[in-house]
Amino acid sequence: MTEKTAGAAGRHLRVALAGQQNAGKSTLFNALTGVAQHIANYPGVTVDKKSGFYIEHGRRVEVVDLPGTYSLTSFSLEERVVRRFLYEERPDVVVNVLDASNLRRGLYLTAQLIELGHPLIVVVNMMDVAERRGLKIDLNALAQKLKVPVVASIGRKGVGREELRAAIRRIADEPDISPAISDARLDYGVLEETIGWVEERLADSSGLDAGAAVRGLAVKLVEGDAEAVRLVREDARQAVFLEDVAEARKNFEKAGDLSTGDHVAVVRDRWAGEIVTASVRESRKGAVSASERVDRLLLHRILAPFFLVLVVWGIYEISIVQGYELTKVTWPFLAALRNFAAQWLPEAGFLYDPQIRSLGLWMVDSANTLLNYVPIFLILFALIAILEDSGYMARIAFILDRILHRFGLHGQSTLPFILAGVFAGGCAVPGVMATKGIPDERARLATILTVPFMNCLAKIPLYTLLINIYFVEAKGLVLFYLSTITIFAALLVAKLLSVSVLRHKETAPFVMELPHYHLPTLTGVVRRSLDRTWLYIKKVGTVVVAVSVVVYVLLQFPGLSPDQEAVYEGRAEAAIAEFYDEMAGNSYLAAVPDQAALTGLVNVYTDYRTEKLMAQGADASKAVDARYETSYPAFYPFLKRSSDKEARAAERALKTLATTRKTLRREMKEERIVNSLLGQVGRSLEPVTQFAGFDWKINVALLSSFAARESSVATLGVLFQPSDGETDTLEERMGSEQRAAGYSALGAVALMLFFALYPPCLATTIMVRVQTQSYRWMIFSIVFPTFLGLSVASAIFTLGGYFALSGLQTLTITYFTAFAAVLVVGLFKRPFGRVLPPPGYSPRGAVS
Amino acid sequence: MCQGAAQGVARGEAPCARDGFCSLNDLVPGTHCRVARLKGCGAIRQRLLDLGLVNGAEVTVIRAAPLNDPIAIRVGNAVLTVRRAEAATIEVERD
Repeated sequence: MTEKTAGAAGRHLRVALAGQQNAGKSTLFNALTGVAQHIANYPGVTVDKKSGFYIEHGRRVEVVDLPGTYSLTSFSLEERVVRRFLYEERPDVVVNVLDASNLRRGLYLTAQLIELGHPLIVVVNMMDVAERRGLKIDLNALAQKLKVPVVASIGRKGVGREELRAAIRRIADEPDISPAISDARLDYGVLEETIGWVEERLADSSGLDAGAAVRGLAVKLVEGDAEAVRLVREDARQAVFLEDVAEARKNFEKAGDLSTGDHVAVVRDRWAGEIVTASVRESRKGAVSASERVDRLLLHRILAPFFLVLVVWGIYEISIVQGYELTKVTWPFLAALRNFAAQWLPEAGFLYDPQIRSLGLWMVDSANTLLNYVPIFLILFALIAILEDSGYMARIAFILDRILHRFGLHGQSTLPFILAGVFAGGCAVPGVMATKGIPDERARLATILTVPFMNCLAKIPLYTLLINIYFVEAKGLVLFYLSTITIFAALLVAKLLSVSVLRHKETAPFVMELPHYHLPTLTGVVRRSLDRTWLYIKKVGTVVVAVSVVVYVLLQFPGLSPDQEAVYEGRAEAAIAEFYDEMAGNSYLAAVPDQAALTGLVNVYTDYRTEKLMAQGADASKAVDARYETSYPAFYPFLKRSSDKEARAAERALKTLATTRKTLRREMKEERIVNSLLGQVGRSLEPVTQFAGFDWKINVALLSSFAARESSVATLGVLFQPSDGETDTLEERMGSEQRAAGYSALGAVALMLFFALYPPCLATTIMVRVQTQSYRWMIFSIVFPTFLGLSVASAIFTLGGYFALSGLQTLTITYFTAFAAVLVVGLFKRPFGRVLPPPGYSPRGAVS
Repeated sequence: MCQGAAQGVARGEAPCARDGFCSLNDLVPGTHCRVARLKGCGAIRQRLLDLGLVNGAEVTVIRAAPLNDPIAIRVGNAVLTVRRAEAATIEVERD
């Protein structure tokens, strides 16, 4: 305490920003701290702790942006976090940010902050908005009433920043902090007597100075606040006295129709009302605000759904579709990164690559898969920031809450579902991230656990592959079925979870503010977009690269047996011998005097072909030629087809050799996967998965897709290899091979539905861990969908087979069954629908 | 004093049973009223209080959501949304 009271220049200073949601706290925080910001979590909970600093006259001022709260009770997580921070970390100055256009409600929180007994500065923010609405605020009158410094500001324009910094400086420079603590006192009327003796008892027994802080604690005790009671109970000497307080509280409630808490709230509200009357003049009372006029259109009972669909479609179109176009621009950079790694790593051998090369490239590929989505995320997060800042996000929740609430979700679950891909194409990672804003713990967990059912970008390739094999005539219909059945599944599972495992979770009432519409600021939007994208890269990227190594090992080892190796080596030697035969007497043979040079030549040839394929247009193609001609003058005749007879023969011989090598390497890769640990696991799962119609190859693909969904198709591509240089597409190969082995469209339906319900990819499960702060939920998010998916797939495959249904028939029946289930749960009352378990409020509610 | 949400929503209870008193849930958009009593408990009650729905506060019902639930109300200068189940726990007095 002493070092803080001294507050001499040069000392580290800590300032906390407190205020209600939508008061413009974050904008002011950005204005104060600039780019020096840091986001972390408060210990044990998922609430963001945002802090930053600025340096002024050699003094470092740390600013902590506390979560927005309307009050300081112990009912919600955010409020508990704010309380604990203010009680336990005792910041040097608390800055209370108020919305100038809604002072009365803001002052309700100010009353409680005053009672905490910190040095306080009140910032009246968004003065421009208040002015436009005809409010004239007398800041001097306000300061006199509150007995603290008052600063006017317009956060989005940076107006008032210097004044605020000066006010902070003044408090810090004072040798004694007591004058900076407001001595404004609220008169609690009939409760004063009770509060008075509680105050005395507290001061007596705890040895605290009878000051604002003690009075604040006394008021909280009389209110019956759980956190205050806990705080006092920790001191054994005071346990008895708590019973007296409870007794007094009961007597008060018996006497009238009000609880002590009600009375305190009324007094605070009235106090705020009096201050507003004394310091605000309203010149346009009763006028219809601009926000209300917009709402008349956007929340119109008939038009609202159309605007909503338009906005959601707009987000999808701009971020997913256009973002995907953008990834085509950024992909070459990632490809260049891979090429750079390929050059830097030890060179490929003829049959075997050095382990370090394969592993390095594997890791780069895994990272690239994720980084490829960065442009999409940047756009997506920016659009969401715009929706949030403008105020429309709250309205989306308002429109959709009724439907979602019936399934145990929340109006604010809409956004996570949109992000994760309500239409085909999204990503569950930002979806899970976006659940942060849902105030209701039960609905939030239900959302987190059902978001992965949506159709993320990476599920699409497998759908497309199977649809192209089995449902060529009904492509559109099947894709429609798949993308909507996942919504049904999410709703039903959410309902199931909220009446079972989530039954006892804390819920919160849906009482939410519809903020006035604001124009978002460019810096605010860009910063949020960059912050969230960076979080994605940091949290997800690192883990995915690490796990990709594990998957690599599982796919590579134990590798080929010596016998198998000998066979491949023999075939390779034969191919090389054939090459030398054909080249006998050819003058270009001089370029490849030995085996090492030949390997180099084949590698150059492979690179050259790849680059030629990637080059777009005749000019780019010529440029590639020119580059290889200068870099590899001796090899060039082998690469480029020319009119020279000997060169043509050389080119032909090399082509045959390169093709043989490619085939050999592919076969070896397949054999390695067959032998691999993952392959063995896939095979050992066959007894279980046979009911769903999955053979070991599909099992391996599904297992490897856990690391990243994209790899399912890639792994299938390796497993359904053409054996002798066929040029069929994967669709044709898989189709013919599967049909030969007795597979059918029914199996494809089972596989697609399993894939739809399949556990989230690794990146998503990491995000589930981050958002729930619990490994148990993370494991649940993996185990439950696996079980569910396998049950559904087995039921469909077995029943469909029993009734000899076609794939499309089975899918149609499944679809309408799910649809009917949703209607039953959504529309009807008990025993089917509507009944959600009673809210499990817990005043202290430890979030596990 | 505090009856819990469940009783508050009981159907069949005649709207505006007491003279001039009814629940916020029964009012049509455009109606002005004053908060007379909160019947909810715990977090719901505290949240309503914190958002300015204290005894005597002036409230205007603005609109219902497209699917009729929740409703939007004006308290002071702010617009709030409450679900009908919660609105039913707010007893109001019409002006």
